[in-house]
Amino acid sequence: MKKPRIILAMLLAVMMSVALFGCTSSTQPPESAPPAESSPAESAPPAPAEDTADELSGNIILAWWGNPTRNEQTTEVREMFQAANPGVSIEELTVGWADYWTQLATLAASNDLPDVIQMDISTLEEYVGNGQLMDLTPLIESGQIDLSNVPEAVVGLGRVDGGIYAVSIGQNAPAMIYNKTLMDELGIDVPNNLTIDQFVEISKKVYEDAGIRTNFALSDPSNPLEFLVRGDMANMWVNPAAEMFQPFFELVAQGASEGWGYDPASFIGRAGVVEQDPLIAGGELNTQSWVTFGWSNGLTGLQAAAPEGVVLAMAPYPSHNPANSNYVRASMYFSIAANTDNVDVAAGLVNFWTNNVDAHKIMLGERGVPASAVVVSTITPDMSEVGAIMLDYVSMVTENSTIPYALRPAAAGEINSQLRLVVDEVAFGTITPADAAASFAAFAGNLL
Amino acid sequence: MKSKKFSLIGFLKEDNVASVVCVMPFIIGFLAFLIVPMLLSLYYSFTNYHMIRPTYEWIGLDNYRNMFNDPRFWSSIRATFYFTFTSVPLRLLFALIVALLLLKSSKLVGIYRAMYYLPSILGGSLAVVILWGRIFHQDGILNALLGLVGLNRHFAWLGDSRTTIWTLILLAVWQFGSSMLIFLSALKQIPDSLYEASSIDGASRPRRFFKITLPLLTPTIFFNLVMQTISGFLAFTQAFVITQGGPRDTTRFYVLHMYQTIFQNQRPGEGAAQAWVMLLIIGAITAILFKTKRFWVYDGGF
Repeated sequence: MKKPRIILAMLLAVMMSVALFGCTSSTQPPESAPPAESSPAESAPPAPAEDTADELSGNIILAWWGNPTRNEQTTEVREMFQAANPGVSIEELTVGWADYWTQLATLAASNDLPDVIQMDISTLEEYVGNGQLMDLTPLIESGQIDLSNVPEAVVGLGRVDGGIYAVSIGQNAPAMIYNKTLMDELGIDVPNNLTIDQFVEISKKVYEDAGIRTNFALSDPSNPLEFLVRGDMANMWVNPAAEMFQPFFELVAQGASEGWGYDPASFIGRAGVVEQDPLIAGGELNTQSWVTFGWSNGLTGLQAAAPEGVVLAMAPYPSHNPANSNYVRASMYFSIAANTDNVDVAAGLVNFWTNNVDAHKIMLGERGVPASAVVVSTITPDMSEVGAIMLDYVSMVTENSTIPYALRPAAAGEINSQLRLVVDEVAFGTITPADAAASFAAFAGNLL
Repeated sequence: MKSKKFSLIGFLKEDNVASVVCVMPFIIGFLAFLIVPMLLSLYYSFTNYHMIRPTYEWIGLDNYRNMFNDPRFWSSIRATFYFTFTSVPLRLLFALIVALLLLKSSKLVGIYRAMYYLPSILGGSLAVVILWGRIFHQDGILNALLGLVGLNRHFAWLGDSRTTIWTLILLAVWQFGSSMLIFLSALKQIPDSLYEASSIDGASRPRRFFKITLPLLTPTIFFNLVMQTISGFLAFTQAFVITQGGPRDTTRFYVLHMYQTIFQNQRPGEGAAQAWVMLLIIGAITAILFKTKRFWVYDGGF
C-alpha cells in the first residue's frame, strides 16, 4: 500500500526538479566568451560601466512583446549580457502585443511588475502617472546608464513630467508600406509626402486598373488620424473637436462609396496578425490592399512574410502639411519597474542594450533605429538591404519633421477602441462622417 | 499511549466528525475561492479600482451609472440575448434529435455516442474556434465549396452583421454533446411498458412521441434549458477569438464587453459592477424559468 505512494512522491520530486532546471538553465552562460575587446575603439564603453559590470549579480525578469525573430534575437543578446556578467540570471517573459498589456496590467495590479519592461509610447504616461516606473535620471547622471552617445532628441523621447522614465531602444516613423512590384506594373509612382488628393487618385487608379483596394483606416485608425490632425498643428489627445476628425471620416466614407476603400467586412479575422495583412495575404483581388499604414521598422517583418517576388517599399502617410505631420518616435523603450529589487542589474542591462555594439550586430535594427549614434554608424555596413532602407527612411523623416511627438494620454487605449467602432460604422455606411466626427469627439472629450 | 491513540481515531470515526473532515476541502475551497472573491468583487464594484493604479477609493454607484450610460453595454446586452435565445433552443432540439437516433441499440452505438459527444469537448478549445473562424473566412472552406458548385464565393460571412452571429450560433449548436447525453439517459428511463401499452391501444409513432416521450422528458428538458441558458450568457471565447465583437459590435457578448472593460480600459471596478449585473440578469431569467415550470414540466404528479 505504501510503495506506490513513495514512487509517486519520487516521480513528483523528479518532475519538479526537472521543471526547476528548465527555468534556471537559461542562467548558464553560453560557452562563447563575450567579444568585448572586438568592439571598435571609438565605441569603447566608459570605465564606470565596465567596473560595475564585473560586480553585477542577482536575478531579474525581462519582459517584452515580440515576434519570432525578435524573440530569438533578444534571447541571444540576453545570453551575451549574462556571459559578461556571470553572477546575473535573467528570466524571460514574452507574449504577443495584445496579450502583453493584459499581462503587464495584471502584474502591476499585484505589484509584481518585471524589472525591465519593454514600454510603448501609448502606455508610458499611464504607467508613469500611476507610479509604476522608476525615474532613471539618477542612473543616467551616475553613468550607470550611459546615454552620452544618444542624441538629446532621442533621450527626450522618454521624458515624462521632467523625469526620464524610459530609454528608447529603437526609433521608427509612421510609414505607408506598399507593394512596389504592383505599383511598377501599373506604372504608378508613389512619391514621398503625398497630398490627400494624390493619395485618393492613386487609390482610385489601383482599384480601376487592378481591382485591388486601399486599406488605410482599418489596421489602426488612430495613426493615420493622428497624422492628419498633426497637419493642422493640433493634438487630438488634448482638445478633441469634431472639425479635427471630419476630413478623416470623409476619406473613409469616400473610399467606401467609390469602392477603393478596403471592405471592413473582409477585414474581420485579419486584425493584428502580420501574416494576415491584406497587403501580403489578401487572397482574391478585391480583398487585397496595395498598402498598409504601419511603421518603418515593420518593413522587415512584412517583407519576410510577403509572397515571393513582391518587393515592398515605404513612404510617409499622406498629409496636406507633411512637415507638421511627420514625426519620429520611439518604437519601443526599456523602462525599469519602480519596485525592482535589483536596480543595478536592471540598469546594467539597459546600459548594455543601449551601448553594446555586438548586441546590435545581432539585432540590426529590428526594433527600430538604435538610440546610440555610435551603434548606428557601426552597424550600418552590416545592415541588410531592408535595414538600410529603414535607416535612410528614418533619417529622411527626421529631417522633414518640425513638431516633436507628444505622448498619448492614459485614456488613449479606450478612445482608440471607440475609434475602431466609429470607423467601421462609417465604412459600413451606417452613420455619416459628420455624425461620426461629432460622436467621436464627444466620446474622446469625455475621457480626456 | 495506546489508549490515547485509540481515542483520537475513535474521535475521527464519529459520524459527525468524519463527515465534516471529509467535506472540509470543499468548504475551504468554496470560501477561499468563491465566497471571498465574490464579496471582494462586490466591494470593488463600488470603487474606482484601476488596474495599474495602486490606490482606489469608494465612488458609490458611479460604476453602475457609467455602465448603463455606455451604448456599447446595450449592444452587448442585445448581442448576448440574441445569441442565448437562438442558440439554446436550437442546441436542445438538435441534442434531442440525435439522442433519439442514438437510442436504438446496435453494435456501434457506443462509438457513435462518443463521436457525437466529441464536438462538445473540442468546441471549447481555441484550436477549433480558430478553425471555425477559418471555415467562414472570406477565403475559407465554405466559400471554396460554394464556388465549386457555382455559387457566389465572395461573401464575407464573418463581416456581414446579418451572418456573423449565426456562425457563432452554429458553433454553439454543434456543441450539443452534454445535453445529448443527459437526454439519452432520461430517454432510457422511460418504462417500456408505457410504449407497449400504447402500441396495443393503436397509438401511432408520432403520437407516442408527443404523448409519452415528450411529457416524461420535460424535467430533463427543463434542467438542460436552465443550464444551457446560463452557459449561453457566459459565451466569450468564440467572439473573442473569431470576431473581437465585430462587425459593429453585433457579436460583442456581455462577457467580452466585461473583459474589455477590465483589461483594455483597465477598469476592474466597473467590470465587477458588470459582473454583478450579469448575476442579477441570470438570476432573474432562471427565476422566470422556474416560475413557468408548473405550466409545462411533468414531475411525476407530486
